[in-house]
Amino acid sequence: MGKHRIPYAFTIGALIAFNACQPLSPTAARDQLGRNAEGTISFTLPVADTSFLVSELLGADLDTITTPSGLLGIVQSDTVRSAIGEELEFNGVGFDQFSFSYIQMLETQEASTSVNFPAPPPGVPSNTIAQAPGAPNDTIQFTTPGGSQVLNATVASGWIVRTMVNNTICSGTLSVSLLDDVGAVVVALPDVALTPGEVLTDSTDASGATVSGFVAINSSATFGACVPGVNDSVATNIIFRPMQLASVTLQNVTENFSETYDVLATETRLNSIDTVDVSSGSVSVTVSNRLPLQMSFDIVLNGFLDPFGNPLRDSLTIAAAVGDGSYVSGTLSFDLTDVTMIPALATAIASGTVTAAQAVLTPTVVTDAVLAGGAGDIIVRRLSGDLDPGSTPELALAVEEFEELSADDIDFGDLEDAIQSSTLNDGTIALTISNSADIPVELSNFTVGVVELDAQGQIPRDGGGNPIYAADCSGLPTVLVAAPGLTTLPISRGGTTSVSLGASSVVDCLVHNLIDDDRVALLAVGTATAGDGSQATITRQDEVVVAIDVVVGLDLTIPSTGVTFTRNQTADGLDLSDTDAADLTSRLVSASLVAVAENSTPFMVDIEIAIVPDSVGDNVDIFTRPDAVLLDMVSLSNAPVDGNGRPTNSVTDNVSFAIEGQDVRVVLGRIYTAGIRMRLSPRSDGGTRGAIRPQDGIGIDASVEIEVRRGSS
Amino acid sequence: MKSRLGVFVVLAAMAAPLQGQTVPDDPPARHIAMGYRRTPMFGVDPFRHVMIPRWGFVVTGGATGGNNALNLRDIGALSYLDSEDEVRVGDVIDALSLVPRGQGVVGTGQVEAGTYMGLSLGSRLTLGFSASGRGYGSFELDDDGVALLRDGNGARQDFTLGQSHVSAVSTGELGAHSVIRLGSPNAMQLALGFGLRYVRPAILFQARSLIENGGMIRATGDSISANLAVEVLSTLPSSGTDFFSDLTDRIRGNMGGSGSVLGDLLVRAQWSGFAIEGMLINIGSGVNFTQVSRRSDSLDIATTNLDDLRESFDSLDFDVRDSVEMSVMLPRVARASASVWAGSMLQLDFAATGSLGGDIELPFVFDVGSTLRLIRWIPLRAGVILGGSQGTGYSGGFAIESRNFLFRVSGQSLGGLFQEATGLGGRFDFGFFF
Repeated sequence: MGKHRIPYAFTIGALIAFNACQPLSPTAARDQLGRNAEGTISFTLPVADTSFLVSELLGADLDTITTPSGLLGIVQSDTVRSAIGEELEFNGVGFDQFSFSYIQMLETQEASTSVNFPAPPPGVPSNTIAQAPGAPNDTIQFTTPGGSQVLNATVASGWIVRTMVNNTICSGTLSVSLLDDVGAVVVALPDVALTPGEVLTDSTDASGATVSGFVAINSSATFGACVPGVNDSVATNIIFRPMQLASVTLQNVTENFSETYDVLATETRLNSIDTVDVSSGSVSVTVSNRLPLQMSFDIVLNGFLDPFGNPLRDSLTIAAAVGDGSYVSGTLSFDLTDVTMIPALATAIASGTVTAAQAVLTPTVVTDAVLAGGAGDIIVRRLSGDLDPGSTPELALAVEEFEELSADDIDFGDLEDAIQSSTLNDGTIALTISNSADIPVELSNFTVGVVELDAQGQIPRDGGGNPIYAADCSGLPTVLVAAPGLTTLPISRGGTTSVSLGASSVVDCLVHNLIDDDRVALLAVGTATAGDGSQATITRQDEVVVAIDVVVGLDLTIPSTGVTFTRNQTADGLDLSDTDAADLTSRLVSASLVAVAENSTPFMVDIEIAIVPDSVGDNVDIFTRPDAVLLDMVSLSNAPVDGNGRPTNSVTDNVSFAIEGQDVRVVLGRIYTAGIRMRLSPRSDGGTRGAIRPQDGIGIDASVEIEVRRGSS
Repeated sequence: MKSRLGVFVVLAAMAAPLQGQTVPDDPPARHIAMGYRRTPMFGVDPFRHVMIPRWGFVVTGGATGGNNALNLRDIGALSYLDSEDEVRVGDVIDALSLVPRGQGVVGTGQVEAGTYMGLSLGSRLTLGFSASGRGYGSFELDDDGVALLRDGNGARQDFTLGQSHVSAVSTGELGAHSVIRLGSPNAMQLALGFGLRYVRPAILFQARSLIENGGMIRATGDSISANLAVEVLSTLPSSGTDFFSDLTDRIRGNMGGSGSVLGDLLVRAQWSGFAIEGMLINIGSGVNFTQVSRRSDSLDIATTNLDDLRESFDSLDFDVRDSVEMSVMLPRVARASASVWAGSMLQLDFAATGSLGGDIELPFVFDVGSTLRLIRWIPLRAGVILGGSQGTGYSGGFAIESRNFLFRVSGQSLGGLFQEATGLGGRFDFGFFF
């Protein structure tokens, strides 16, 4: 405290000095200050530079632009996504028909045997010698090339080659008979005369011969009077060349086959595709067997790789058929989920084995004895290659997407009634289409239209399943999406294309349905064709995103009775306290609200203003408030317009509203609210149609002029 | 006991003048010493006591200041309303209506307090040593700015801060002055005074527009625009601090900085019944202030919205931008005076005082004063002050001026008398001589 003693002393001294000079009452104090007050003082202050643009009459959340035709445009933006990648699938992918004929089982391997029989021993001279019964190698057993043993058979074709050698000193006649196990002659061979040392080889057609069990060879020679020497002999060699059998009974049958074939040879849709990554899908392979033998079947699908890079394979066993030519079938099912298909490498290795203890085979059952064929559906995860929709129709994807709009999306605010009662003559739909795929896409037969949704929010359809568009439109409810001068709209790979479509009728239809609170949607329908034959890739994640900007150009017609808008606008007052305001009011000589009003709308405007203190809500009717200060109504002429109803200039009027007495206190506070009632009415020439530009509106540049008296009394 | 001893000392000192005047050193016709013949000056006067040819010790202090618009009753009325009622917008309008058109509001002030010790070396030479604090201040609210609120913008829309500014500086000083008396008391006496003061900076406050001609304010019915920039240079503590404590620290900090040496000159010629005098003080370079907080802010707005304007004003913060060192030239005060007297009873004084440059403007003032010595060592003084910013003023006072004792009290009422005054001045001197 001590160090502050001096300042306090000064303060106390000053207070004493001032107190000595202080008046005894506020009135005396104010009389003192006003001792020299003469005349008045006037202030002119801006209180409102307000442009009531027509655009401000729209809902606050609306986006507005200038349309290409220069009008105020309302923009409603929506986005429609078409997951074209998810639409990509191959249905009915067909595997080539595989067939295998078991001809090998109607064939015999070449079989032969040689018999050498000597002359009788000395002391038993004879002019006849013959093969001793049970001599070695005197029978022939037939087998198929697969090793199956022929039990009996009928020869369709084949030859028997006989070779006979006369190793005696005598000329004689040699004979050979071929008998089966029941003693039946298989093939009759003619006797032959041979000179000493002569060798004979001849062939005999075995067609039609039947064999049961085996063929026994019985040979003999007759020399007439000549008696062969002790060491003489006769040799016989019989060769059954491979024979085609007309029928055969086999036993201990085990016959194999293995064939490789182009499994996708006829599936041309995949010709241009390098790789198909399958998201899901399956292929069923049906295997048929008409052999009266049980068959085990195995198939390896090269070019169909599982996630580990191994080709798919599977096997099954098919029972023996009855043998009348009918088939017995079995099915293999391949799950293609996560399988990678490489069509160029797609081959199948079909193999199998038929087995039986005994079976009767004829050409009927061995021809096309094994059949295999299949088909399946594939949902694609990724597709790459020289993708060409010409060869792969699946690349032409049907698109149908819709986006429901509601009246909340487009709040026309105070203009709703005017728009509802008018026809919108300027509407565009601007599309910005983005293609995320590494493949060019072309939209064709693509339209955007307006549909009224049913109660479930679904698109109504006719009997053919086609969408039913809104019927209460004044014009076409759809517009074709196409590039200028084209009927299609190409979108480059990974690119974006924008197009603006004149769509007045669509927009008008949409807006009126919205204002009528109908459930309404924009429907995009058409075909998105991916690929142009060049190397490309499309994946399941790829999509075409269509950003839709519906632009409503305000070219409207108002009712002949006009359209009234009421707005409450808060403005800043002079921010005086209540006592200051009262003080200033007591000194008031005059006050007025002076405004320069500019009308740039194509309509006449009547303006009424009521002001109240403080800030009040938009929904309060200030004109009915008892504390409202009502100002005189002012009428503004319409702006001149061109032939299209567009304002070409604006008109300006100077208006002045006198504020009387205590009413001025409204603008002396911190905030006051002006209720502004404007009525747009037909032009002076009676025209009711007008086009609104963004800058069109009613501008009020208002100031308050206050003249107050100096001095408090 | 101490108070009794003090009373005794004072009575003894007062007894000495009686003796001194009774048995003066000077011839009877010149019983009034030259130092007492000099008309007391309300402003800064470094030769005030050294002109008294005695050994001695003086405590002195004084202040003067005024404005051109509000008198004491006006200020009292505002003070009363502020404390007892409220200052309304109409009160402000009325108060501003008191500002003379074309002049704006201007004011100046000086303050001085200190001690003096004199050494007399024979009858010709006196040396004086002083320690004091001094302050100068001036402000102006340009009429181009005041007019906005005083006259409104109905007839005029363009305003400016003009030359508006506030300047105040205070110093702590140690002085050494001497007066040499030449001539004979029976003929012309010539007193030559000179001295040096070692001046240390104490407090600085300056506020001014950074835009030439004070920027621009335009208030129309359509819009309000303003382009203003103000710089405040101050060694005063920020608001919100322990003001006096912080102020003391800052003064101590400035006093610890580098000082300046200023010179003072005086020439006085005195004949029988007539004297003229010229004095020039504060000769030299500026006083260097260190650690001057520089605050500035600007307002550049064009709006149609009063709220924008309010927000812009609210956003002004005048935060400290940086700290600078600056040199302030104290007002170079020049004074020319003349005195005539008849015997020892009546004396008339005329003085013209003004400044010859410096960073603090002091107005030109013309004083006319009279001294009546019904009792020779108790002069009664009265005068009229002309010029300055406040108009005609009046002064008065009395003193006890003896050989060994000095007690002098005087006051000013500027621009009017008493409560009508727009300025005040006061001064006292209390000292002993041997």
